[in-house]
Amino acid sequence: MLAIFGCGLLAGLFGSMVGLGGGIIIVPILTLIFNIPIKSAVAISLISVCATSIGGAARYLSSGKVDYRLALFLETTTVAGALCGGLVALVVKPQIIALIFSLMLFYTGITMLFNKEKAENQTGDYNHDEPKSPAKYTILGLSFIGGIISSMLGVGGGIIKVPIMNLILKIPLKIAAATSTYMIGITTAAGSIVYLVKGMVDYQLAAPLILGTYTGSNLGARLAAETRSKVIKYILIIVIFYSAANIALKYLGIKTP
Amino acid sequence: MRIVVKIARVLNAGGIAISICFVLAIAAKMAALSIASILARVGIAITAATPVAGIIVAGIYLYKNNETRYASYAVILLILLALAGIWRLLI
Repeated sequence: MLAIFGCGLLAGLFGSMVGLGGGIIIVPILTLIFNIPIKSAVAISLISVCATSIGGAARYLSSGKVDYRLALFLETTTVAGALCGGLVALVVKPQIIALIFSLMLFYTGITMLFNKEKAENQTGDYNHDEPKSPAKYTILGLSFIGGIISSMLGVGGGIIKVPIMNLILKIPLKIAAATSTYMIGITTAAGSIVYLVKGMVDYQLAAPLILGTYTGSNLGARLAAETRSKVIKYILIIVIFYSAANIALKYLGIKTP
Repeated sequence: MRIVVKIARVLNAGGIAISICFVLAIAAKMAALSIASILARVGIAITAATPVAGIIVAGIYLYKNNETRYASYAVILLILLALAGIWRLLI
């Protein structure tokens, strides 16, 4: 139990220091280290990400960075996607989920590798108007896909939501990231409910993991401002690529050293 | 008081309740008490319910502010989340 708490703590700590949600780290930890089936790992990860998002969203809301009107608008299709994703994940083979998750990890690793630091400081004028069509329908469609991915893979989907808001709606990155954090809580809650109703959540395992990630992410958010996170970022990129390859090979039945 | 502050308060309260439940659940598990499982279940239920409570609060205050368009999005979300809870009855 302490080992799970420790892993959750590290996942939350390093994840939040480099701007990642827990899911990208938690699912590989549960499947590769604790040998938990990927569907159960996804279910536990979703609840853990939901808890982490609650803490982050509360902070962002208090600082006025969240566009909650836009979040509610976009979540109408994201939650619909999350419901579909959760239901699809229950019937598809674990191998398919593992392969899609591996691809998602590779995408995350590449995005982190080529992410420009300057973009994190992007600011600018922003008005709170609802998006106009055709951007409105494009972003609603993409949000639906984001919801499916989130529920199927047990991730928050911030890595999809933030670029969507930033590139299509021209929302400054800081507001997009804060709004995404608020949205992730709602999306993962929907996905979690689907898995909870199916009875796929191991409560005894989830409790120390969620507490660990929640504590770690709060610590990480504070430490991120004081420490240089560049080294941690590159270590995490290596871990992400290693996990992606290992999960794919494990579910393809190929033994790894 | 601004709507964002009210939503933040709900999320903060939920976060505190989640932490307390899981700390107690782990302590109970270490002491080999049977209540550990119940506490873990309650903690997970609160985790899933907190964002829902945030949507309810946002919806109520948006409606009071005459922003019925955005309040209706909150209602749609609550219907979808209710569907997530009863999908086994429908399928």
